[in-house]
Amino acid sequence: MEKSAKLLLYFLKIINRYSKVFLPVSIVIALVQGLSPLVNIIVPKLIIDELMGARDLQKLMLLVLILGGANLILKVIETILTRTKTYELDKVQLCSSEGLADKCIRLPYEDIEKKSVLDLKERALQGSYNFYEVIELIGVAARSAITLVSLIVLLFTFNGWLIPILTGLTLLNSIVYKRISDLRYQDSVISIPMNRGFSYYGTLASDFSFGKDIRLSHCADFLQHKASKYLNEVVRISSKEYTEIGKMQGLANINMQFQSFLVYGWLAWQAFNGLITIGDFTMYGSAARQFAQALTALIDSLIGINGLTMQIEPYRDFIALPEAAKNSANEIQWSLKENVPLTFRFDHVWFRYPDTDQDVLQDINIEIHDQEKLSIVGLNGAGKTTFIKLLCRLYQPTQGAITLNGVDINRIPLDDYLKVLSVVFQDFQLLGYSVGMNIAASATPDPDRLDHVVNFLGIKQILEELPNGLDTSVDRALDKQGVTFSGGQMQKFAIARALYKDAPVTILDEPTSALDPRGEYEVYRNFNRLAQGKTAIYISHRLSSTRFTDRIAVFQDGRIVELGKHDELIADGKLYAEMYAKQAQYYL
Amino acid sequence: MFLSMALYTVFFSLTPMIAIYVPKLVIDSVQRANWQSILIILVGGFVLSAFCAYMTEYLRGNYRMRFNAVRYKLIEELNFTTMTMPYPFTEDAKILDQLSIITRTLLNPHVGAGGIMERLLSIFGSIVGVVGMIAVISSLNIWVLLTLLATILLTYYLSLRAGRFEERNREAYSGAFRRHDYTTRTAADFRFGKDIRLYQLGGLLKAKQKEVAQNALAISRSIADKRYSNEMGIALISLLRDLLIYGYITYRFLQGNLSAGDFFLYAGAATTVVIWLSNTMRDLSFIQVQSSYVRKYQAFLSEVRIPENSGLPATPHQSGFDIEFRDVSFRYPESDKVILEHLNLKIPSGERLALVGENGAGKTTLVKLLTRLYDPTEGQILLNGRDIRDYDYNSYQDLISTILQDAKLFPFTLAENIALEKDPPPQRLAEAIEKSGLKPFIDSLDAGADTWLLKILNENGIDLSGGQRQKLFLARALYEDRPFIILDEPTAALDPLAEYEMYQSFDRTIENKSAIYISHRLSSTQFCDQVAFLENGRITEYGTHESLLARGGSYASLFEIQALYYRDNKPSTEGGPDGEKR
Repeated sequence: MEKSAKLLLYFLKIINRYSKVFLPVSIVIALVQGLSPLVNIIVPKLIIDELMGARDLQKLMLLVLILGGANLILKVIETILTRTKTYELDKVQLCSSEGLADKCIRLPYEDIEKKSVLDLKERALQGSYNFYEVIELIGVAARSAITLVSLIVLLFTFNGWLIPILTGLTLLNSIVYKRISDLRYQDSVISIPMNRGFSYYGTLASDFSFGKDIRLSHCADFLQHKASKYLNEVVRISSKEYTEIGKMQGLANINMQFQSFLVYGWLAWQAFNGLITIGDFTMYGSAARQFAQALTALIDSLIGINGLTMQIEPYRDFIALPEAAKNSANEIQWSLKENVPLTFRFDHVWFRYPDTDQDVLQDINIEIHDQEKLSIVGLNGAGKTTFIKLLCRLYQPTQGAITLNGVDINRIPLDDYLKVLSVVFQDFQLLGYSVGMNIAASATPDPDRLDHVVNFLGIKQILEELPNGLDTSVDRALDKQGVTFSGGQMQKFAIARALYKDAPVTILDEPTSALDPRGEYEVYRNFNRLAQGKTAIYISHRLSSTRFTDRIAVFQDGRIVELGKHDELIADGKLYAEMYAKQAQYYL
Repeated sequence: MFLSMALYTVFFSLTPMIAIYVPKLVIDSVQRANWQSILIILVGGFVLSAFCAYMTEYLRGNYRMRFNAVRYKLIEELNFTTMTMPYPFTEDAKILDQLSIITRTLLNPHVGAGGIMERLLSIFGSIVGVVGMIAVISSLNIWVLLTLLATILLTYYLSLRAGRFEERNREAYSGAFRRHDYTTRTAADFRFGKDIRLYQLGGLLKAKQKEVAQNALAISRSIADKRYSNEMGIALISLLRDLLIYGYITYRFLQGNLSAGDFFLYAGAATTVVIWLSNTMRDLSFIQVQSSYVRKYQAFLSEVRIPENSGLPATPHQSGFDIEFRDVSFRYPESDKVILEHLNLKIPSGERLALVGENGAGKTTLVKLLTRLYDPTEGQILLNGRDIRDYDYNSYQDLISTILQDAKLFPFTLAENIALEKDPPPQRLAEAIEKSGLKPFIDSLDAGADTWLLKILNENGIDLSGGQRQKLFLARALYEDRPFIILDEPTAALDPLAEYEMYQSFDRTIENKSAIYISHRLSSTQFCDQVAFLENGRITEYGTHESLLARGGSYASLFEIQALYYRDNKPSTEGGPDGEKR
């Protein structure tokens, strides 16, 4: 309960941060909505009393006008404020989503691959989609509470005993509601994996990268069979739940009816004995009815909020994750200057991924000279990509240090350090925006620079075939006019992005696997041109490409086992020579 | 389901009647000072209303259970249709748009078919209830009733107008939210993590998101404004209505022909009918709008479904399968670009054909035609002299195994990934594992072939290296044991040793099957009997590797490019395992 309250408070703070207007407006709306039942209970009573008594026509007209007028005014206020509220609510929703995006971008890379962070992120996202519902329920709770207070005051004027009796009976219902919400919770816990399983098959069915496999292996029946296991469970659990909830809700309804008839009986008795007027009878009758309804709504919404605050928790925890240390104590002033040679050194670098017990890199020592062309080769899983990740500061060495011109790279402000590197990863990603923005990595590309890159890489021809040239969107996620590019084309855009960035160090991680021989040849040629006067590092399985680099580093089981020129390594007759021979034999 | 609906209608429409009649009768009895009748009314009313109240909830639960099951069946049906609809639809932008709307609607239980079923339960009860209320009021005065109905219709018209406006803007509104969500989803997708950090793409993402947010809020504001002006109109109308009803019954009471109980009854009936009628109308218009989604769903299913039984003959059960492309041309639907142009190619039974060409030459398209994922725009593909379209579709596809460039792992067990069917014969499975070279790896796992892959459905799932993946796909093809096998770029991501191993196991396991091997690594062509070189949608060169090299054409020049660097270094690779060469 205390935890819920804390989360709720946090939630209200967030809302207030994103919209200063939302909470005040919501409070006034709750007041107006909460008090409007009172008007419709009291004024009709006055009318009836007048009718049964003095029958003053003027007074009657006045009362009818008051009834209509009060309802009108309340409704008008509500309408005006609801307009603002709707808009502000959307703003809150958008801003909270932006908050998440921002956080994701700022988290250190090594954290975002952790399973715990991935889970938390997924739950935070899911939770943020429920914010509307939480806000809605808070509104219901506030409104019901106000109605309740006003009715309590009213009922006190009749008989103080009525309130504890009604409350007691209503609380009886809250036991039923509690059971319902427990049941829902239990079932949701059981059905989470089932639901996830079933919805996975939905994703699978509409993920058409599986389309050919599914059709050509004729395994749709098999997949449906597998999905039906989850489906049957989901349906079974929810069927049980709905039937059970129906029965319990029915019981709660009987109790509600009992309450209102009990009150009617009492009121009828009082009226029968002339202790109250007919007007009182109707007023207290509907007041008691509405009291029970408002109390039920309040309890219901509080139980709902209590459940939903748990959805806020992952959001709060995710937003609170520590970000990359921007200005740690050790940081020094450093900036990239032209014509200053850059020398990297790996000094006894060891690395293991968090939560694993295997050293992916072991005692790596290597110096990368200014403007050197270095090839990195090795079997799959030898640590080549990890080596690059450390150089890019996506991870930090477990032991040892990487230095740039003698300075530990971790002491250089991250933003300045990243200006040094242009990287094309094996699994590079493009965004669903225009080709131009993707190449420039900016919403406002510099046309001259784009032009230069396009000409330099010879991708003009690709662009000319596109409906909107550089303004063509990548994929159709955001733009119906977007184009789905082939792997080779995307790779060219990724290389163009590296070129546009124009950093002094260029890294290419297995860039040619999707390309035909001519395309591959072109990439190497282009890359050599773009790497002129720069430091360049290649990872490649195509050992033909390594021959023209200054040095080759051969990785095996996390170590650099060979380092030298092509001819030297061939002469050594070790792993490199073996791999080279295997590949070259067919071309001789 | 219909029984629970019918019963629900009865109980549901009775509830408000009881609620307004009981107080009236009590008041009348109080005034007549008849204590006995009060007691009878209260007890009788309680029993009746308690029963109704219980039954409505019970029946609602029952109904929800049933319609929920129906909705899941619909989802299942859609999934199956999506998986089996003809392949060209999966690349058809129009179909994909329809599919995404249908899927989104179906997954949300409160709209589309689910929403309709949800509202359908109470709609008949509401109508009966409203008719009852109208009957009560019409006993008061027919003109009051008509005016009341007029105000309700006016209210309905106003909310309908606002609703239409929202409906018109819904696509833009939810589209803006979707685009906004794209940024968050992308930022949260860790596969983008490296690029976002190294190219500082955060700036671009956030700039775009801000832009979309402005757009979303502008639409949100215009919808809120429209709703506001309509709500104001509705507020005025309800003022008129209150004045009318209360004015009239006060007047009648003063005339002396209305009891206090009647006064209460009519006031209650008027309030109730307003609420119920507008709810009913809201539900009706909701159903009307949502039924368009159901129609879309049905239209979609009937458009994309393959007829169950083609009536065409199955492919023959014999060992020889000669394939011939005869004058085949192909364009993708709604595209002017000719991918294959009058292509002719023969693949005699048992031949291994290497298919070579640059990116975009049409290799993958050729495979799509051969596997009947697409039909040729012109010309024919023949199997033993007969057009493949004249064979039963499924039976034809059962002739060909494919290992595709972008083949996928399913998050199931290893064994399931290989067999892709229920209860696979263990012998056949073991054989496929053995031959594919996957056995040593599987034996090294605690759970063996029952080990789960990927973490999507099982936390203990493992991932496979590139080499292991390819072996698994090979095992899949071996398990299928079909007479024809197609390999599309199986070694692109492999290191030299894994690639070499793949070549070897391919060579070993293919036996006397027909095979097409597509690869950019031209070294692979040497395992094949013939090489077909595809250029601009035609086979421009055809022959053995040696003969094409000797010919010095495009194939030779492509081979040269790749061989260049190896060739220059001839001396150092002498003594390579020449004996391995075919």
